[in-house]
Amino acid sequence: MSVSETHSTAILCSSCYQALPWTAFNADSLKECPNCKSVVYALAFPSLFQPINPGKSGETLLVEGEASCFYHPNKKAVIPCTHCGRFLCSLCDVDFNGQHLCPRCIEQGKQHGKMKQLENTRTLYDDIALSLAILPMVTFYFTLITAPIALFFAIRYWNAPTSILGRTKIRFVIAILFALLQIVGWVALFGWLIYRWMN
Amino acid sequence: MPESRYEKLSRKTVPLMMGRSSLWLGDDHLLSVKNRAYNEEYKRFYYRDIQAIILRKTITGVIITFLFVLMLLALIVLFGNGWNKGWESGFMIFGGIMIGFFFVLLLVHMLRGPTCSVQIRTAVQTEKLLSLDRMPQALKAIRKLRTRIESVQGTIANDQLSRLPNAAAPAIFQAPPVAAEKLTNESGSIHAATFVLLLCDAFLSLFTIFYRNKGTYLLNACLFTSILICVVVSLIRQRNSDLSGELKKMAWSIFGYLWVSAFLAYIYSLYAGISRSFAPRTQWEIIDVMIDQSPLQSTPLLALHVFSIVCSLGFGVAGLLIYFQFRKKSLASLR
Repeated sequence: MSVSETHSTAILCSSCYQALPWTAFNADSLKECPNCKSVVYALAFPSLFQPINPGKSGETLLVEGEASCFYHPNKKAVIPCTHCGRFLCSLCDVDFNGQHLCPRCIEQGKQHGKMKQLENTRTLYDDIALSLAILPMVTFYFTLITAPIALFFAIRYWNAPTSILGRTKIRFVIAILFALLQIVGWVALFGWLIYRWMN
Repeated sequence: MPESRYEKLSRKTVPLMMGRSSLWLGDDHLLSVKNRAYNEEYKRFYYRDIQAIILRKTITGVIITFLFVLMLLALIVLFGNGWNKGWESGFMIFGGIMIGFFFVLLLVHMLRGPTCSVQIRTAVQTEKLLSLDRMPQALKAIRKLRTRIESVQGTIANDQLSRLPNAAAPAIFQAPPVAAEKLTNESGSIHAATFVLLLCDAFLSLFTIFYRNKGTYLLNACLFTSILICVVVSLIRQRNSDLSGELKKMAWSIFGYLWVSAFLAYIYSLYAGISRSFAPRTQWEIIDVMIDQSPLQSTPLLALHVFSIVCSLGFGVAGLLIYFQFRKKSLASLR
């Protein structure tokens, strides 16, 4: 076993950063790190020993008239993009969930939120609407401004994607309900004040 | 309508509004979710890519138990003394509620089991799973996760496993596997200085219960400022350093304690000023108010002193213990 191979497979104790011995792995009970005596439970899986495949560089175009890559005109096309149909060389071909996509389609899919697997952040508009509808009730006066804003958020982002974990619309519904109640309350208060002022 | 089928693995709310962290089992990946205010951040670990999971028992739980017990003892001594002296019933009810509250917290903390730290490793990253911080919960989650990973990758053969190093590795293994995280080498001396200063503060606070003048008050104020400076420097220096997580958490805890302590002292000075029908306007007037009354005659001031002594002593002793443990490990890794 070469040093580089050992280095890539060595798993370090998270306390002393020394390699854990193989006897510490996949055991039924907790083990001790031989170096720092920390109690550890370590699991190793077969992918630890799988080498990382080197990326393809794309074959250079040798024969004139042969189909070339849309992004690299001097590289040989090997496959069309499943989404846009552009010819791709093996460098540009991205295997994504069984589809062959070009970098631009992936970028666009990520930007438009069409590829959930690539999404790494989401704004929770339902939480914003709910907070705007409920939290200002502590001070009461702020609800004059926040209730319409909460209502706007709830309606504007009703169809916007919320948490990736799957949520119902209950937060939006509660936000709308509270916001409407607050607005009705304010209208009633102003109506009563105007009525008193006029009489 | 739910978009994806995820099974909850664990969830943890980080205190002080710093967010929430949770883990979810997907069809082909483990999803780590971090909530920051109104945003969710996702990180996916595909079962086929996970190389190892490492759980390590930490001493954070012991420190928390120690602090809770100290707090409970201080409250019991304080309000037990008040009971004997015939304090007002309102005070005693408040004391009972406080003792009950801390007792419930201690009970919940102990029932949740020892604390731990869990890391997951792939070919290109090593990530700490923040939501798995208790041993029983973490072991249960890891068991579930192992089933999923092994259903994709299969089980590791013993001859493969034996290719891992069999003893404490030489220097080549000392660097953490994450190349992107360049950790600075930090000795932790500022942290140690903070803990020593906290111990000095505890003793000075104890001394000022029996003897106090402007000199001791100013000394106390200087000590407080020094601790605050040391903590701020510690917090700056510990960023991206190789200091242990416990030591880093301790610095943050002390920072929080200093603010609470300063706030309580200020509230007391206002209360003392109001009870003498004048509000202190200058720092000098605050000092006058603070030293005029002896803690032995004023229960709130005594409570403030006891709080300060218990916390400073607790953080100082626990901090030094963690620091020495860290030094021992650092020296061992250098050998």
